[in-house]
Amino acid sequence: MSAVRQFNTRAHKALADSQLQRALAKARSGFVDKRAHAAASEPDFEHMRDQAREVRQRALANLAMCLEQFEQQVLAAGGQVHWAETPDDLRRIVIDICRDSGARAVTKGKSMVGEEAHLNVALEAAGITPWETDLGEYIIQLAKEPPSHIVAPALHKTRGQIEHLFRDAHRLGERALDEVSQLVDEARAVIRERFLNADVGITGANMLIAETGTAVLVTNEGNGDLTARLPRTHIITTSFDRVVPTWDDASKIIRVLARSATGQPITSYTSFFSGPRAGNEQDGPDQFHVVLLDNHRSALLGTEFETMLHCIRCGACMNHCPVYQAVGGHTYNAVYPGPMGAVLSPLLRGAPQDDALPNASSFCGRCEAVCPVRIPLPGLMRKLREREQQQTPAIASRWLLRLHARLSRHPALYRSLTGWGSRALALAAGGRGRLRRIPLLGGWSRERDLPAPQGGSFQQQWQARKGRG
Amino acid sequence: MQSARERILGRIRKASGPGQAASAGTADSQALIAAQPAAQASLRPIDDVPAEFCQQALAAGVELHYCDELAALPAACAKVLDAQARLTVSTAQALAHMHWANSVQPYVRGSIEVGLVQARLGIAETGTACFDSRDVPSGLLFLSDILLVVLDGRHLVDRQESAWQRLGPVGSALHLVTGPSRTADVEQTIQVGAHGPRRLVLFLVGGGLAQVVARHTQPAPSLITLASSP
Amino acid sequence: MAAQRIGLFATCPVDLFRPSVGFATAALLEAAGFTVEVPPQSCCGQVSYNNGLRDDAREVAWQLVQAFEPYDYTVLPSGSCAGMISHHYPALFAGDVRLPRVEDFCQRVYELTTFLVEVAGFTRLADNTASLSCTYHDSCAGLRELGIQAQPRELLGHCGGVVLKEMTDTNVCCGFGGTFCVKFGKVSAHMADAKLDNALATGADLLLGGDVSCLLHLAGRARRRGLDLQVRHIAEVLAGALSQPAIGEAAGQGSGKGRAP
Repeated sequence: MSAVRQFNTRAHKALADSQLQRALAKARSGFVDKRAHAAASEPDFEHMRDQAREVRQRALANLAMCLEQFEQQVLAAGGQVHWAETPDDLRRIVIDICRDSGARAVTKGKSMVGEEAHLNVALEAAGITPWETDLGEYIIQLAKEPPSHIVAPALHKTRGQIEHLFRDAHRLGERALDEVSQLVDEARAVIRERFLNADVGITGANMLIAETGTAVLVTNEGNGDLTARLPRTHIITTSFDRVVPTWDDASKIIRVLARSATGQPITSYTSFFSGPRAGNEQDGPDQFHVVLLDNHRSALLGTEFETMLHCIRCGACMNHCPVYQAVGGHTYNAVYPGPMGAVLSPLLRGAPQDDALPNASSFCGRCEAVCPVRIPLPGLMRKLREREQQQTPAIASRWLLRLHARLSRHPALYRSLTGWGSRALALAAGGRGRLRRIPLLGGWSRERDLPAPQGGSFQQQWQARKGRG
Repeated sequence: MQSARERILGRIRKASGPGQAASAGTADSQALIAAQPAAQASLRPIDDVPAEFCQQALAAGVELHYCDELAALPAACAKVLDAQARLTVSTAQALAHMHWANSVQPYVRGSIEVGLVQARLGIAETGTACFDSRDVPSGLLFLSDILLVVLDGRHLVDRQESAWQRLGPVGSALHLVTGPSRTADVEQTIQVGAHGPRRLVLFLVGGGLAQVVARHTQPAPSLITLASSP
Repeated sequence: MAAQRIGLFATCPVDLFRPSVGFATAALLEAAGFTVEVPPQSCCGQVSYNNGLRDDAREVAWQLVQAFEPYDYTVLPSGSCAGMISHHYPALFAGDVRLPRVEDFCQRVYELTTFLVEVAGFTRLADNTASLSCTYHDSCAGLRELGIQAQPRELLGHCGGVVLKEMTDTNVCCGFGGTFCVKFGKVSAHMADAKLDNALATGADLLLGGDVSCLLHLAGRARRRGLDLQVRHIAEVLAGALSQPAIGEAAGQGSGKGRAP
């Protein structure tokens, strides 16, 4: 089955799923309105976007140097940096650290790189229990599902579904869980115990600061901080492209991150972790590990796809994408969904030429319009489509497209053909104004009528009129 | 055989321009890292830093109070704090050695009713309080049901960049705290008290900010009781 | 002084399906004092370009540049094709010796409503549109690549008696997206339904837009659903050319609303 057909199979299921549609409808206006409000109430917002983009450009232009600096500083602070070329490497490194720490249970903050490496499955297989602590991640861990959104992993779940998951997992009896506050309190109580008992904490990082070897973590819940600072060992799973040169640079990213994601000027918690705790500090890990994943990212440097590495993972592109809003994140069947995922996910698979995701966009451009670092997402999807055309065997639709291009290069011939076609279709409609079924155009007519031509092409009619005049 | 590190860095160097040739630690790299592009005009100036701080903090869900000097703080706290509430403090902070109307205990990990902590700095652009892990154990900030933050009214800066300058080197963690803990993971409905404090009560102390704070305070500040949790 | 000459690029959907939009466009431009010509023409190349056939797109684009560069201006009743030309042609010819000619040409290419407002300053619009109740869909490329948003509304304001009722999410995609609407038909239809429902909720009789491609898709979906909503290109309203049935309607069909009295 072709990739496009597989996408459509999932999309049709998503469109028919009333619970999912309810959850998506809730998210739709919320995210869009909040970002719009944040942008409108900050006079410098467009300027902030330019500053953030410049930081990302400068970081990537000096990437090797930034990374060496970062590594030196982490080492100087008493931490360790590990380099993982593949998700498999990352899994092995993390499990080795956990085993060295004698870990039986680990708390986890949200990490998309962890998702990329399917870390939970690997931890379980190694006999280590992963406890997700971000509420959204906790919900989908109970549901045994992957995240459907990079910022709001359980966006696809309704309150009722979450209540059911909690009832099954927590043995609640008849305790009420009708209100959002009750659900949040329920998770808080369960996860609080885990924070206090975990041997290792694994988090992601929103940024790495080269000048001091610091990892920046942004959350609203505070789960990331409790994951990072209570266990004896803190492991940060991230990718090397998160690095920025300085603290001032990090500030420029922070300014646009939450505004774009949730419409807040800043999240409740923004934390800067630099190495293990010092002797006089009461909390903080004894061991501080940073695992840097490549997974095909280095292959994007210096290519037309490099700007994809500017992404700061705010999720604004998917929040504003009408396709994502219609079908949800799981339809993309990829760690990263939505417009940024439609570019990044195929690239991270290493074989981007056979993928539906870059095609599953109407190129409406809303993603690019809201991207805080102005990544030309439709342009990158178009480049992936070009790659697909160059690298895969031609199918019928491509021959049609090429034939159309051939004809278009000969306007006179084109004019006579469209004139003929226009008349033929008008005749077929027979005065009904529209056609319900059209041979060869099933893709159109399955979902909509085809308005009938008015009879004769514009060029033909124009010529006729001018000829008379 | 090359290590993963060498292979990854090798690919990065090969792919990128001349800037990649410089090695960390050289004067070159320091200059590049510190480079502030000239084209980068700064953001609009924040004229009234205390007012901006109060306004942003309030918008982030912080409950604001003011008292003139540190010595007056226990009395001011007693006015808004339930007499039964137990305070937990960091022994590394001067607050631990003051006389409080409520019972006071040093921080140990576990659930905490009211955490009482002093912030290093406040950042006006977002109404944020900064905590250094050398003064305040991280757990005290995140395990408290209610977080009582004391902030010197003269320790306010306009933006993050100024904060980094003022702070200098920090401990293994620097926590920026802006309002209470919250989540929107259930149907995008904002709910406070996800894992950390359900309420964040901030006392600005000194700096002659009584009037500014008064403008940003709810008409009838609620008594801080433990039953306040939802 | 001789009138300036405009090359009218009708675009494929107008040429094939909706000549009345081409004639309305010509009428508006002539009324604004320009000489209008329609040289032999085909496609702007967007279909090839968006489907990853960059080389094909460039050669299609080149025939268009050659055909239209003699005119003072090229005007199109489409934000999508105008965006393709002025926004994407220069990138398509990057590193090509033809680039200077392409760039010179692109600077003289305009979408219709932008041209009428910003170049022609033309305000003598239809007076046979009394109490026509409309809602306007902002097509994506025009809106985001060319900043077309105020212009059509300003022009509608100059038409006699047109009532504009703005819909929710007027700036959200209708789901057409070129081959997207065929490859991902159900998703596309879902997006169209959201658009049509928003349009119906305004109570307007007529859904207007600046791109016949989007409108064929929306009208086709509206007819399939049996909705009481007529669909037209804005040029027809601005020119008062409402004698032809709305898109997808048979003569004498529909509520009669959205047609000239």
